[in-house]
Amino acid sequence: MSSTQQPQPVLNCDDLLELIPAYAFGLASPKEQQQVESGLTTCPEATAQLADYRRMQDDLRESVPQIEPPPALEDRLMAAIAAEPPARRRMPQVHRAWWAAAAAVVALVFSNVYWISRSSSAPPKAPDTNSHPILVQGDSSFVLTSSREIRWVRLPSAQKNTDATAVLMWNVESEIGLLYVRGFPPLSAGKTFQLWLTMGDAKLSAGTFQVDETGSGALLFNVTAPIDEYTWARITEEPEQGSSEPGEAVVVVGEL
Amino acid sequence: MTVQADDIDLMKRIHRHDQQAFRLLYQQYGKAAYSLAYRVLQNTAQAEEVTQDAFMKVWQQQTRWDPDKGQLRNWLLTITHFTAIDRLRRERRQPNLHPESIEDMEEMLSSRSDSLWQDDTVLRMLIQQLPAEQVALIDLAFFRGMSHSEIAAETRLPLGTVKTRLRSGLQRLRELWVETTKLPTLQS
Repeated sequence: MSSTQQPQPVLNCDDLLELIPAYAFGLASPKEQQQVESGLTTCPEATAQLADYRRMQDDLRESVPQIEPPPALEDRLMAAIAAEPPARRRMPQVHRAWWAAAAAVVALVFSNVYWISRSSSAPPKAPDTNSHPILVQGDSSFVLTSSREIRWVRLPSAQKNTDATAVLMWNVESEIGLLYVRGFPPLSAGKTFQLWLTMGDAKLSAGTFQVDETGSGALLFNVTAPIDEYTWARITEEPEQGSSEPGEAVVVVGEL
Repeated sequence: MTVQADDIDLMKRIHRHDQQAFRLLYQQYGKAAYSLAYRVLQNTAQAEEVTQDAFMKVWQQQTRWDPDKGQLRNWLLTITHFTAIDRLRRERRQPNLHPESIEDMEEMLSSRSDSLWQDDTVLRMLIQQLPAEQVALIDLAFFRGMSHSEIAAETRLPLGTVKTRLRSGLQRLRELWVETTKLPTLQS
């Protein structure tokens, strides 16, 4: 039975202080780490010394000879980030519970058993004969809610005579959203679709995605502010590595 | 705006994937990061790769800076330091030196002292006040990321001796550092 599985006796302050240098520099054994962490609350001097060691380590890192990096390093670094799909790197941070909830709501929507509440003041029209569970009437966007916690917006096509449509859904106050698109045009070689959210004058990229042969695709995205705070959403066609600003080829657009 | 406020604003922009802001971050701190990476690895190609890796971690937001816990510069250098140590361990080699004994290590450090510490830094002055044997061990622990056992194996010193000397050296260095950093003239 490992000693780390048993609570370590709390050390007196003097003994604790002897362990602080090793602890601060990552040299303490697991047993010693536990002893330090248990004892810090009872020995203010140990806490103060640990803070000193942290600041001293900052100075040690600054005290190395300063050498100019190769000029090409900056260009390589900028090329590397430009090649990264924006926001997708944060997908692993999506909370599992939310991911499950999002999948469940999508399943409910497309099984056509869901409630729809209309956000526009225009009178309702006959349902779309394609039986799409999200109804579009003119250029109005509909907000679909499953509960107090999930919001939906339909993004209609920005071009005439196309079937492109998108549904954006997110949890209230969340920075994580789910996009589902249908009827999108096929992408040219070297192109991708990119989702943009507008806040004030800024248009933030929320990620890029592809569509299949039916023009359907999906994107789980994570932005830096609650989606509720954004005002508009649009999807544009961009170069395959993504773009820093939305281009002119807008596929769908709608107010959030 | 204070430096801290500027850095907070810069990081907010980077979190929104503002590439120009990211370039500014590199221009401000890239040299310090590269210098630290080189100090650990003693290899320019690896130092470049580690510097790029560290900045990519910031861009990819694998970890986020908390302004309440310290300055951006220190946070970035800590990321760089740990990334460099990880790389060094993977390479499984000690940069440019294979000392036969602690005496060789001490001699190497004293002969290369000009290249190991930046001129006119407080730490360089303080380090020079420590016994060479303690400086050698601090270097192996902090800049090579070695454990007590690894240091003992590297220097062929008994494990207990390594632990005692390292603890004494760090305690003395801290005392000197605290005394020095409390002096008003040296804090400006």
